[in-house]
Amino acid sequence: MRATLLGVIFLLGRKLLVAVVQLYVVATLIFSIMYIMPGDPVLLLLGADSNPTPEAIAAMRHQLGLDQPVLAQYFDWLWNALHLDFGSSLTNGYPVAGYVAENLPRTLELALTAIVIAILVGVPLGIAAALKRGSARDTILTSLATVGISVPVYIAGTLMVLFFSIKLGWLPASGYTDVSRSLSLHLSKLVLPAATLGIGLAASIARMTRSSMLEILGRDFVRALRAKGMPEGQIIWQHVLRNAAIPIITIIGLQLGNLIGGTVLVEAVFNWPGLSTLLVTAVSARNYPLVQGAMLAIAAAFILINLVVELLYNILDPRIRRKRS
Amino acid sequence: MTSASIPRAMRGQPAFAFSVALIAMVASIGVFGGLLAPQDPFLIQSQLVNQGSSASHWLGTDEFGRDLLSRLLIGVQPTLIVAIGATAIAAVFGTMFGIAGAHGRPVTQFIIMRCVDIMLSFPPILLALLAVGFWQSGVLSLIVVIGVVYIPQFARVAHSATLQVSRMEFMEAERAMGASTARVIFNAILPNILAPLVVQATLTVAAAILLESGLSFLGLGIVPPQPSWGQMIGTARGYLAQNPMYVIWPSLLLGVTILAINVAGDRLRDILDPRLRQE
Amino acid sequence: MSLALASSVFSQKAFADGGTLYYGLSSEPPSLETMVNSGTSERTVNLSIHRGLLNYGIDGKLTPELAESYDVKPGALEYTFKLRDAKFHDGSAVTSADVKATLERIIAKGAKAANNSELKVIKEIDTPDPKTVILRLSHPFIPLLDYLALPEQVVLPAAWIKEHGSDPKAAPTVGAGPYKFVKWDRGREIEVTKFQGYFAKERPYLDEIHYVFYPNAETRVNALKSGDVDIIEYVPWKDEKAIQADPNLKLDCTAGPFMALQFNTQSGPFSKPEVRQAVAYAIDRQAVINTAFNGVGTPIYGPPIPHGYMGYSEANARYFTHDPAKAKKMLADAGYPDGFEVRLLSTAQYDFHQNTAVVVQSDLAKIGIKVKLDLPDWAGRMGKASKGDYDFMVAGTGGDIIDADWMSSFYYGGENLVRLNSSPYFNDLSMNEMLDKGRITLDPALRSEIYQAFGKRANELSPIVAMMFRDQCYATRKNVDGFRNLPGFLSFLSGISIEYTKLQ
Repeated sequence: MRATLLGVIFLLGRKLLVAVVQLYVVATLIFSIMYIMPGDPVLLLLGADSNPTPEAIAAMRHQLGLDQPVLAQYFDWLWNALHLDFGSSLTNGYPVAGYVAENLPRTLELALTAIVIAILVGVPLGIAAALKRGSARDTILTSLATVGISVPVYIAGTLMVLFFSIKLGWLPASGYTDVSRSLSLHLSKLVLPAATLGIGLAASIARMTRSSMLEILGRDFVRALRAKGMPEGQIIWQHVLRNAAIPIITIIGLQLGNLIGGTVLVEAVFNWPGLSTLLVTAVSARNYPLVQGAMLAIAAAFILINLVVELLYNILDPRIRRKRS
Repeated sequence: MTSASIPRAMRGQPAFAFSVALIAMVASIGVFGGLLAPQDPFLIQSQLVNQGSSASHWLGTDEFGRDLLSRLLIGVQPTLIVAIGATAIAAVFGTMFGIAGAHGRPVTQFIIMRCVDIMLSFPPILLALLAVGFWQSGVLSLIVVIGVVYIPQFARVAHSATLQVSRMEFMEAERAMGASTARVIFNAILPNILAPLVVQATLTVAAAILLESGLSFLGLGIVPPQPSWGQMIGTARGYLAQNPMYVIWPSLLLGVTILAINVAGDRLRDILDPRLRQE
Repeated sequence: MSLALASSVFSQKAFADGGTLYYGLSSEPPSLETMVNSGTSERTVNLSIHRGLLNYGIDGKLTPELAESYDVKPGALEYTFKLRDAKFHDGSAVTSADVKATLERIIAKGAKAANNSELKVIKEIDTPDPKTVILRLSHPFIPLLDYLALPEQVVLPAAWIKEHGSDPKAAPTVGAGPYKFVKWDRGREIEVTKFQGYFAKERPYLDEIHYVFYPNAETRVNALKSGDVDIIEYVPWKDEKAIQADPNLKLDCTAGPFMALQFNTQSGPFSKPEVRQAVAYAIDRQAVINTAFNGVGTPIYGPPIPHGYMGYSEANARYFTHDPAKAKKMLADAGYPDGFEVRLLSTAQYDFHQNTAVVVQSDLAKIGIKVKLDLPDWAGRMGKASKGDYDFMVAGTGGDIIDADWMSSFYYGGENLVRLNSSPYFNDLSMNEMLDKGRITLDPALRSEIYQAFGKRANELSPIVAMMFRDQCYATRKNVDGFRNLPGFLSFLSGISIEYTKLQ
């Protein structure tokens, strides 16, 4: 194995190239889908209750460049995107990059906090259940996890708001405050949405941890280690957990990736101004450049997370590393 | 798995037996729900909106004054069709992609796994919004959307499981014997990756029911007046203060059903896993 | 940890009570462009930043704002406005040149302005001195002042118009209103701050307003209950009772907009007036109110003219009844004894639109009409609506102005037969004529007669079947004072009362 600097750079370069191609495919897919989708941004722009004249509609379409042939619009967009210009919102001209720059960090903050909560709760519970398989503890923990999975996140979130915000008045019910304005308010508004998301995720992490642990515990090498007289604690911590970690990390990676564009329900319940709300609003308004920009950001974040997960695989499972190099 | 193994597996496993019974019951409600409904589930009674339990409406009424029990009963069918249909799509395509991505030629592996990544990077909500934009919401678009959402997850699970299986000794043996690809896949890989796939399938059925409810919450679910559990929960969230039982009934049924599916799934996994069976 | 956080939350709130108000909007405005009506949220924000020559005041009457007074020459062909000493936020004075530039931008050919077609009646804008504006019309147009009072016609600095007026994506954020635009945090809120140079010296009262976007209705209500925001718009009907009962909250409702059915009259059963009338007889208004609006609302059995508005008449208002048997007979007489199948366009995005459609579906099933629901998102629904791609459609809206000419946009046929608010392909010459005559008739008594006759004709032809006036509610915390829900159709313009709003 020659892990030279050059090799690492080559590997990263290849991965980045793949990522760019992936992003290109995503962008093209979204572009084509949005343009054949029914609904017209111009009508929405011209007003909620007014009856726009055909001339006004045509003029607006021309001003926005929507009267160009689709292919021309596509190559235009692509050319600009290559220059890192992702256009601006059809409705108000604010740059798409600015939208993403404001919304992505908020989503990341919420998702990462939720994942940390989920790992801190889910992994220990899963291990605890697996180690006493079939016991009352296992049954209770497994059932709890199942209940956790089966409560819709917007119900859980609403109950949290009703209890912690409205009844007890401990925490704000909704919204987002900039750190620059007030750190304590910022954090207090993060608690409920992150906990709501985190608890749901913890349940599935706990389940995956349990089943993956059980799988490894049933392997021959564990029996061999036991036969050799290795202490049970050492077997668990050094061998079983390490091997069980791969599917656990897979599911955490998957969840984190899903969260980047998938926190829409929690964002709705807590009015958290994140990326998926932006995406929903943009699709609703047929704000094409914004949909593309938001989707590219989501895909890019997703691909990045995948890269990290893959790196973790390599560290955790020497066999994969050997096979690939 | 032979047909005899399930009854055998139930012995000494009351939770499993109970779960299977419950699933069977829910499934039969799914088939016969319309016949069991004590009242017309679509009958709007504008004088009786959001009522609690009463002799005429055992579980009360919804915001249209429709009988909740009847709606819960007929709501099972679309819920199950969506969940099972979506899981089937996800399982078939996901497993195919996953095995091909781990076992195919390097180029195939590469392309397939990158496609899976691309699919995975589309948030479910976007897929749903797009689907509804094109076809209307409804059972079919829900099945497709939710199915597509979970394909990559299946693919990932199948992929990593296949990678693990590929490293085992018996695979070397199969390969050494010059077995055909189909043989390797059906005789060596599939049986050995079935356990995580079954777990994934149970998770997916449960998740599909939840996702459907989430989409309903966002107005992208089953077309009214047809109910589904998810749609009922989504609507009921708005009436938490007025009619708390409205949200509790479908949530309870949903939770218990998912619990049963998961318990059954866990046990099935043990039965199916050849290594665990040896113990 | 949560306890520690909670105390800091409270101290923060107590500190902020000096004059920062949090206002929960029902959506993020697509843009702050003034001359386009992009919904209540946009209008609410713009009514804090801008003022027109005149506006609908908090009592619902036309109130001079940047104009100190106005004078209408006999014959109603010449309007003279005297401007008061007002300043824009950048310190420059509001002059007749600004008014001229503003109006010219609106009436330019093909302009995207919401009231472009109505205001084209302005033939000439004369500015004899910086404080005087004279508008000359090509023909008398009674609703002129009403249209000028809408937030779409607020006065913008001529300098801004010169520089950005034709840029489709630019929006004017410098105005002459009580609050100055500070910043728009995308996806979250718009912040405005007190304008010290506002022409009404004693107002406004608040230091700062944060217009926070709360698209989800339940979340918005919870934010009000927990004190995250002080005012919310679009209170969901199902929450009215709970808010009324809450000692910390106040509810302010008006029966404003109406729910109605619009018909595609091009072909098929709905091209026949008798069939549309049959639908009017078949709908159980009270059921719509009880289910989709939680029991709150006023049923309509005639044209959707509110009580007290010009054109209202008891006879017209009681034209229809809920009579399924009669409806069924009318259908049979029209040649549909076994009913027919149609597609009803509504939207899944708003509960009340969808629930109204569900009730209509159930009521029409009783007279043999099979209704298939088409429930795309709002954008899809708008797209289909403007193309006339439906058999009939649930509409939920109100007149834009309180002058009787509001009916034009709902009933006028003419050259453009497929529009958002009118029934596609409906074009009744006698109704067009009455609307034309109404616009130019100076004598109010005569005018009133015209619109009453119009209402009768509207019942007979029923191009639009109105079902109910819905409540439009605002809710505030107890410590908010001076915020007012404007009456009737004007409810959507209530944002203007932020000028009078105080925090106790």
